[in-house]
This record gives sequence, structure tokens and C-alpha cells, in this order.
Amino acid sequence: MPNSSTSLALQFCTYQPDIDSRRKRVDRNISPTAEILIDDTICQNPDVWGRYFLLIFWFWQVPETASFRYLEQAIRAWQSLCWSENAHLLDIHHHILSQQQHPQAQRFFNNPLDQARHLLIIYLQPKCVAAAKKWFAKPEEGFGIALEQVSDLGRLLKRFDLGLRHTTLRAYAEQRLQGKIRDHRVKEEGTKRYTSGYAKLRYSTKTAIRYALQSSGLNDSQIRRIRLVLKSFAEIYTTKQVGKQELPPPSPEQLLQMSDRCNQRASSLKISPEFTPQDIQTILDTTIHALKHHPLNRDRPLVLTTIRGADDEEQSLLDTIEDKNATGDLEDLMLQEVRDYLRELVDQVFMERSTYEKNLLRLRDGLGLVQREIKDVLYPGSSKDQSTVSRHIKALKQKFCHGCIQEIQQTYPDVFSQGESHDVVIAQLNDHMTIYLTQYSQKQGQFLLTDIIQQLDASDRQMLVQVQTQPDMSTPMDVLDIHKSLHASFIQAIHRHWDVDFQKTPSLHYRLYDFIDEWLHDCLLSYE
Amino acid sequence: MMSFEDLVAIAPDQVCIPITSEDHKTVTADIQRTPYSNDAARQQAYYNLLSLRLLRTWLADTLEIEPPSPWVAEDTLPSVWDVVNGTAIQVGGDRLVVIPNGDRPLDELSVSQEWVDHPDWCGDYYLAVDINTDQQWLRIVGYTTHTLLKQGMFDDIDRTYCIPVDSLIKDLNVLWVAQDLMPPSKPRVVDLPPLGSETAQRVIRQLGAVKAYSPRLDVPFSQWVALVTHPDYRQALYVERTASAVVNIAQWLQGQFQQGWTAVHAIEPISSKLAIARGTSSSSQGERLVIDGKVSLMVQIEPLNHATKDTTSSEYRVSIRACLSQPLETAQYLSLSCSGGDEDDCQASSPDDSNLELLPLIGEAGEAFEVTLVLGDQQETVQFML
Repeated sequence: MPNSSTSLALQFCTYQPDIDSRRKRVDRNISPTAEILIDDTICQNPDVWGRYFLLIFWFWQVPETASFRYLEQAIRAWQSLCWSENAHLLDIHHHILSQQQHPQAQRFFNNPLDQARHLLIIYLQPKCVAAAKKWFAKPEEGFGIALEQVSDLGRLLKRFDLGLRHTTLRAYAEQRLQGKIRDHRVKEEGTKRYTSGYAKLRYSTKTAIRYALQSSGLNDSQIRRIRLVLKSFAEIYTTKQVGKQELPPPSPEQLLQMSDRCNQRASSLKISPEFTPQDIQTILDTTIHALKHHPLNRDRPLVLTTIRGADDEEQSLLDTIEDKNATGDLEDLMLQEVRDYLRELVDQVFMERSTYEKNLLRLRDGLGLVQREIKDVLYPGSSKDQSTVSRHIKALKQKFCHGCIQEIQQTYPDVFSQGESHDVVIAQLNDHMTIYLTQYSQKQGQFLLTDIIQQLDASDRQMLVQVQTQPDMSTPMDVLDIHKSLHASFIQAIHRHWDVDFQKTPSLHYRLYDFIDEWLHDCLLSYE
Repeated sequence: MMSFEDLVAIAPDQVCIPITSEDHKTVTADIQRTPYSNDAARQQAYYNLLSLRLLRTWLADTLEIEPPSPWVAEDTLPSVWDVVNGTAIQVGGDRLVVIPNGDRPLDELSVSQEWVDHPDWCGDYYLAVDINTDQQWLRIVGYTTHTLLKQGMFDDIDRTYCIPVDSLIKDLNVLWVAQDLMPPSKPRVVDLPPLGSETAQRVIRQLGAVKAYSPRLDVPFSQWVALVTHPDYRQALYVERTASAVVNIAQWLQGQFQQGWTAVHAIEPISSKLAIARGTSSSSQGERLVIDGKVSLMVQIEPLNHATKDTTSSEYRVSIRACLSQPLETAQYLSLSCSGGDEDDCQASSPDDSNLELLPLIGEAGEAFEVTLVLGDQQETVQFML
């Protein structure tokens, strides 16, 4: 087994224990524990390198157990990993090591936490790209935000269970990312952006300010002192100017009031020394400077994103990352049987719904129509507001949630007694119920397409397969005709089986083409 | 910027409520009729009242119940909003504490300690509400429980419990289902000692003098929470803090002018011709410089029914005028408006006009009104009471 890859792996951690630590008594249980951890929970899974990086990251986060001993033992246990299945990830590692002389990389090589953290971020970058493309018109803008979320590994991967067999780290991170990126887009676009000094100071969030000050290298005590000043600023700074991007600096009188205010509160908060108006001004300027140079959504960790190929040309590191071993499907964190039961419940509850309710789900979760479009299809020419559809869908989702949770409560009551708040457990079950419901609703349309495909001539099917498998090939006219015929058949099938008539809303026909294109490939593959 | 339609399209599962012009107008009018100690408190009250109105309607529609009530009498809500952000609504046996965040990014739910650590105010659930007045929407970002909030971070600088938005439960269906199937146990909050009457009066006097910002951080939490959760003490504090924020112009008839106002005797009275015609000379005028001294605001009060300077006269006529103390800059406008009473009157000037005058108001003793002056990008509002 030991080969050049092994030597690379041993070079992964440049950490050297100091003399004092070598003198500490060695815990005899560490070695077998670390080996079990590595062999049973990491090596058994396809995304072994990602889990290994995460293990290093977790060890380093928890002071009591992140003794260098665990880390050393984990690295030694690593020798049993199967190298050939993770060669592409070793390319990343090899590349990182090759950058050792790069000035920006020095800090990276001084600390195993940094190494693990950065490698993990690289490992998760493809999911950042996917999330950015889905939620932002300009993916590069969303990518930065996604990367910022991924950089907060402790939060993003907090609940990831190393022993979970059916979920890859990437799939788990993707699900968490999607929600965060969407929320970020709402936040970014839903609020004014204040770009100038005092306006920014007045309207920045605590999180943004804390991040900016930490990124500026200030310690907790300094930040706490600054936060007291900012609280007094929020209380005292007023201006007659309204709704402006530029705000004037505080007046001398306001600075004096702020310093008095801070001095009034400082002793009870154990903050010293005393504040003068000049101190206040300096602190405000420092914070504005920090906010300007360390904005929350644009600061990037050091990530080495390019490599030099064999012909010495720079290539994107992302191109070298191939998720060859990921299963793709996301399972939840609960018992397998609870998951299976939940899936069955969703199917059963769906079948018990009225035709109207089923169509709401088929159109929204299945075909991806928005509420306005659903209203147009189900109530063509009506003056009904789309809020009617919205209310019905919300009521329906609540019924689903209530019905499924009630059943699980009776059948698997232990799920709710694991220590987590009931609301949190219900939220987790609800998240997965939503996923299963979406999958089930999508299948409704897929079944119709499968039936239609089965009735095509073999030669027509062959042409469609060819186009799907050779996307760069220009589409012949014959295939376009088959597509049109498929589309027409799909509309008829929807009308016949769902009692939904798309003929009355020709403006939405393009949505059906989208659905057909998206699912046609899967239908053909499964058929062939 | 994200319109309501965009928001619904991106986040169809979130509770998003449009803010109509009518909503904005009625809430604004109600806020303007009520005194608050400073502009920040008034803005806070606006967001809270808007949230309360919209969410009560939404809850009634969603749960098919009568519109739920706030946890205290509605007419006492200004005394809460003048000093604390948040509103509690009783929905059946549960208390939802609504924490609005207006017109700025929302990264974390920040709940004042009063809502968490006092048995009379603590909630079962806490809702994070995001308000965008430009794009006219309100959305419920998520919720958390008392237990989860207590496990969050406590910020002693501003005495708030904070929980990141990412940690909130986004789908409100979870709240209704949990409430129905697995209602959480009531929060266990230690009873805090009440405030004695003498101590309360002393603290009210001390905190009543603090008008520029909320005084909630100026005394130890135990004293503050005992004060603010006691209806009578809280109301007394509110009166103390807002008394001088409102100009009682009826007192001018007895020669009592508040700080910042100058009695005007020598200058020609406003609408002097009318005064002569009526044969009355019992009016009083006051003048004050506003908007950084650029505008002189003059107000005249005159009792009707030919009464003498008797402040118990039932009706008064109030005349309002604004004069520029320096020439207008190019393309700058001065506007003067008044709200309250039966009608609004508004005038806007052109660059050639340095004087504005409103039609006289007629009001009864105890009525409140507000005068707003806008000069370019600066604005100032003065509250009056007859």
C-alpha cells in the first residue's frame, strides 16, 4: 500500500507537536478510537476525503478533545484509506502541496485546521456553483455568497453525522446551501444598500459589523468596547436628513453625548478605559473602515482555485473535481425505517386528496408553475386573485404536514424524545416530507411522458435518444416535429388524466416544453 | 429591489403580506396622532403597529378565528413601543411575540430581554418579521421557541437574546402542527420582585428625563422589567417622557412657553386682518427656529367664542406659518403640512416664496396635531396639543 500517495498523505499535516506535549501521558484509548472512527465511519463511505477533512475540522474546533493526540492518531490511521477510489481528491492535495512556496499559502501550511478547512471548501465548491446558478442571474455574484456560506463550515455542516451511510457531504451541503442562498437573495434585493460611511454604520447588521471587526484583526475585548460605542451611536445619532445614502458625521455635541453615554454604562459592563469624544470618533472611523474593507458577502478565505496542468497552463481547479463516487440522493438524518414510512405516508396522503388538490401539487411541485400561472390554468379568464391559489396551497401543505406528523407520532414516538425540541424535529420531518412530496408530484408528469414515449415508433425514440445524448449536435427538423408532437400529446394526456386544460393558456406552453426537456432524458434512459 | 411579486415567486412557502397604501396611510395617521418621545420611537411604533394590524388579519384568515388581541389593552401599546420593540399577540393559549425589523437587512432575530425573562411578558413563540416599506411588503422570516431563544446568544450590551436567521424555523406550518399535536410546555421563568411605589416613582422621574433614546439600559434589568411590565408605572413613564415632546400651546394663553419657544408680541400677528375683524385680542403667538435654524415656525392660538385667556375654552383657532430665515437654494422647496384634526392641509413653495401659511385649524381642548416642515432633504416634525 505505501507508495508516493502515502508519502503525500503523510505530508498533509505539517503540524509538529512541541516538546511539552510529547511529555504528556498518552491516552491508551486514543489509537483504537481514532482507527475505528476512520475505518468504520469514514472509509466506508464514498466521500471519504471530504469526511476526513471534516473530522480534522471538528477535532480542531473542540478544545477539550482536539488534543493533537487525536489528530496525530487520525492521520496515522489514515494509511488504511483506499487511495485509488479517491485519486481525484489526491490531485487537490498534490496541488496544494505544490503551492507551498507561494507567499499566500504560508499561513495555510502552518495549521492543520486551515488546511482541512480550505480543502473542504474546495471540495464543496461545485455545490456553490450549482446554488449560484439556480438563484442568481449572474452566477458569479451568487458564487461569492455561496462560498461565504460554505466558509462557515461549523454552521453549515453542524448536524452532519459522520456515520451516515447514505448521504454524501456534498449532497448534505447542497441542501443547506440552497435555502441559505435563496434567503440571501431575498435579503440582498429586499433592502436598500447603503454604501457610504455613516449610512453604512447606521444600517449595518450586528453580524456584518462583528465580521468586519474580527476580519480587521481586533480581539474580543476591543470588539466589545467598540460595540458599546456603536450602541450609543444608534441611540444618539440623529439627523434631519431622511432616506439619504450619504449621512453627515455626528456633531461635536453628539460625540460628547455618546462619550457620556458610554462612560455611564461602561463600569456595569466591565469595559475600560473611559471614553472621550475623540475616542468615539476614532472608533466610529475604525468601524467604517472595517466595514468598507471587510464586507460580509465579499470576503473570501484563501482558496487556491487554479492549478498548473502538465503543459504548464493554468486550469480551473474546479474542472479537476469530479464527483465520481457521490450517490446524489439525499436521505435525512433519521432512521431508515422512519424515512421509508414518511415516504409511504406522503404517497398515501397524496392519493387521498381531491382532484383539485392533487392538481395544485402537480402543477406547482411537479411542473414548477408559479402561483399566478396556476391560477391562469385552473381559473382561465377568471378575476380570481392568485392569493386564492396561494391560500389553498398553504392550507394543503399544512394538512399534509399535520397528517404525516400525527401518524409518525403514533407509530414512532421515540423520534420526538431524542433531546431536540419538538419544533425542531417536526421541522426536519417537514423538510423531508416536502422533498418527498415534490418528488412524488414530479413523477406524476413523468409517468404521463413515459406512457407517451412507449407509444412512439422505435425509430422516433432512437432519434430522440440521439439528440439527448449528443447535445452539441444541431437538432434535425424531424426531431423538432417529434418534439412538437410530444408536446401536443402531453397536453392531451394532462387534460385526460388530470382534467387540466392547457389549451386555454397558450402562453404557458413553453413551461411544458421546459418540463419535457428536463424529464425526457430520464424517461428515455429508463426506457432504454 | 425586490417587489412583492418577485418575493412571492422566489419564496412561495414564506408568509408574505402586501402593504397597501391604505394600510400605510391609516397606520401613519394613527402614529401621528399619538405622542412619542423621539423619532426613533415613533418609527419603531410604526413598524410594530403595522405588523400587529397585518398579522392579526392574516392569523384570523389562516386559522379561521377571530382576530387575536395583543396581550395588553390596545390603548396602552404606545407606552410599550416608546421604549421596547415588539408586540405580543395571544392566539388561543399561546403567546406569539412579534419582533419587526424595518427597512434594513435581517441577519438575526434580536429579542429584548423583557420578552424572555419576565413571566408576564415571555412568549411561547417568537416571530421574526421583515418589513420593506419601499417595496410594500411584510414577510415572516421564521420563528423560534422560548427554549431555543434562551439557548441562543445573550448580548449584554443591548440586553437582547439573539439567534441567527438561519437557525429559525422557516415554515409556519410546523408551528401550527407542533402547537396542535405536541404543545410545548409553558416557559419556566422565575418571578422577579415587584417594584415598590416609592422606588418606582423615583425611577420614573429619573428615566422620564431621558427622551432621546429608550432608557431601558439605564437601570438594572430587574428594576427596568418590573417597571415596564407594570401597566400603571409604564404609563406614568410614558407620560413623563412624552409630555415635553408635545407642545401644549393652550398654556401660551397664560404666558407659559416651553423651552425653545419664544413669545412673539411685537411682530404682526398672523392673519391680523381677520383678528381685527373679529374684534378679539386674546391670542398668543410663539416662534421657534427649526431645521437647523433655517426656518422660523410661528404658531398663533386664539380661543373662540370671545372668551378671555381662559384655557378651559372649548374651542381654539390655530394659525401656522413658516418663514425662511435665508434664501432658498436653487431647486429647493419648502413645504409645510399639518395632520390631525379633521383635515390635512399642505402647501409647497416655489423658490420665490419664503413664507408659507396654512389654513387655520379649529380644535377643542385636548386635541393633538402635528406640523411637518420639509426643506430640501431635511425634515422636522413638531407635535402640538390644545
